[in-house]
Amino acid sequence: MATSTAPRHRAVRPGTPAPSRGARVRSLLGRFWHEYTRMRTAIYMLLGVLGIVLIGTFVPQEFTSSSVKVSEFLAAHSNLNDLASHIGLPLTSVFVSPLFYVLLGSIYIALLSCVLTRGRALMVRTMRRYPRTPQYWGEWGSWLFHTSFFLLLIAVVWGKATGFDGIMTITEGQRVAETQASYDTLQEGMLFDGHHAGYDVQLNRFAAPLQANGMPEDFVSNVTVYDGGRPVLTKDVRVNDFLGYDNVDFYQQDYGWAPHIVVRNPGGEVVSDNAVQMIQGDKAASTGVIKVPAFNYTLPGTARPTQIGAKLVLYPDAQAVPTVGGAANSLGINYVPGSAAANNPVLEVQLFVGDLGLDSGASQDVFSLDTSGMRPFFDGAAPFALQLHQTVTLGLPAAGGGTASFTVSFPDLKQFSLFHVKKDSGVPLVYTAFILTMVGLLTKLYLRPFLERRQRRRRATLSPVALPVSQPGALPPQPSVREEVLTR
Amino acid sequence: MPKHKRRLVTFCAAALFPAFLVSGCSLQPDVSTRVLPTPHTSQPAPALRGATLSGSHIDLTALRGHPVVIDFWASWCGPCRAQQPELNSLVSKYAARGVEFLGVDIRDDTANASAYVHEFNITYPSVFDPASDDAGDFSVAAPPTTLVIDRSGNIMLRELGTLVDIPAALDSLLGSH
Repeated sequence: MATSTAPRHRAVRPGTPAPSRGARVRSLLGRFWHEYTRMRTAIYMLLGVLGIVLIGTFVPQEFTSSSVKVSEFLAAHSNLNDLASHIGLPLTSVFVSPLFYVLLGSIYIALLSCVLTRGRALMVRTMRRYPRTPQYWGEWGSWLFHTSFFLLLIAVVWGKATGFDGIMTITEGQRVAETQASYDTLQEGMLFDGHHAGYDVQLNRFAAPLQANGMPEDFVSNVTVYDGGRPVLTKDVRVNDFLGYDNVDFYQQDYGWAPHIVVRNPGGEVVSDNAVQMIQGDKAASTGVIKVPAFNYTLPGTARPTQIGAKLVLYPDAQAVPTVGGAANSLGINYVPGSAAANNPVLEVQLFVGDLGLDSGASQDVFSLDTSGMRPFFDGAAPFALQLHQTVTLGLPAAGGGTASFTVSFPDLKQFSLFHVKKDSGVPLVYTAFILTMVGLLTKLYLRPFLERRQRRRRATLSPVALPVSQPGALPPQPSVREEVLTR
Repeated sequence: MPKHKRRLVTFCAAALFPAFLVSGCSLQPDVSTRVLPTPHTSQPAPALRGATLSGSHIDLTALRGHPVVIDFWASWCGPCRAQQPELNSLVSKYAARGVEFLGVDIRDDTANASAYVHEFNITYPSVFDPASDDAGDFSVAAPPTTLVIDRSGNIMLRELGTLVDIPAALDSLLGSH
């Protein structure tokens, strides 16, 4: 990058004809280009990129964070996000924002200009066999540093463009294939060939042991990779210890509770039997939803089978508290969250009956319940509590004025792991660029000073002042040697 | 114009310049806008065999010689529910003419899927694919994806979220026989 100050304008002498329009445009473009490719400008741009990376670190990002957390952030900071979006920086997708690309593109252009300009000068100097001074090697180090930085940016962009980035949630005991349909969210690069690895990953068990202060001391997902149907690898995946197999990396990003819920309809048919991932809330009181579209029971007087759905709150360590002024749930007990350990799991179920809205054909968020076509099962949408291993029997109107009973059971409590899955083929290039960066920096910061010190020492050694007084008949200092040292 | 102001203007122009070069550019399009595999293809269908929801075993190669419609679905999928009555109509119309129908239930649980089959009175078998292995083999991005396989076992048509071209494809296959 250019390091000198802006070129001064030539003073216009009286009588000198005014520069032509073309010359003025060229001058303007020259000034613009100079300013644009200056090191100072590049540093401002780098600071901008740093700021965006910081935002991306603290704000949940679409496609790399849980969609629920992104929604929560957007709901809580909609004004801030709108404001940022107006300047091309939507806060939940900063790494694909126009502003980020503008800054990255600018740094590319400035770096390319720097690398070409300096590289050409160095080549000329080398071809013409100019003296190999310490400054010469320092310039090479500097050029290598800038070139490797350019290479690093290429590696990052190449990795993004040819790979993919997604979120996959796996419940304990569940096996999921590394394929497009398995992702909760997935972003594939423009140059990605569409070929996923296809092997299976099974979450055997998950553990998040708690410290005395209630915070988890570690997140550990024990997973097994099945390739071609055979187990090929079993590994504990931790926050900084990812699973890498067949060029796809699984990073432990989050976890949560997954209560196993079984619903039987009035006909005794099991219409829902699965572990519900509780994506929202915290680990001591997490929330989720269950939808049973195929409830297969038609209420009297209605033409279509009814559907049921529920909003769920799970307290893994529920604390029962005395009720004041009426219970919050139908069992007459109020529960509040305790710790994040599964000491006393209780599920509060806010049940709704009606139309889930799924039959319209529109895609729905599986983690949210649209109750616009439903009515609460209990007055006031009061929840009922369900302890672990408990079954609750509830009644719906039946033909002839009777009651049709159905049941909701909570037989097991599992956990799920949320993995950030990445394929980034730019990684080897990133390492190469890193090595070249270090070589460039070492050359610039250590080799050049070392050569300068050595040169000064030799000069001091060969200086006539330091030489012993010449004796008659002694040989004078060899000018050829001195010259060689100074020009090396 | 004072020097510092001129510098500021030049700097701003320098910062805005690449906006015209790279604004709107995104390296990662949303999956929903990704170019899907060509709808009309003639590539051989991958192997598809496994246990069905009812517990029997099925193998796609055993259906060779018949046009086959394969529907990838899930009980939690709204568009699948919306599409299912239309698919059932196709079964009524074409099954008697020798077309085989096969479902592949992906990312699902047995009870939920069986309740779905019961609700819609689905008569054709469905391979149970909870891990989405078969979905991966067939490059299925999301349910509902429907494919038409010709008598030789080649994928002739692939549709995501619609059945609009299926009757024409089946008519073409049946007419050419």
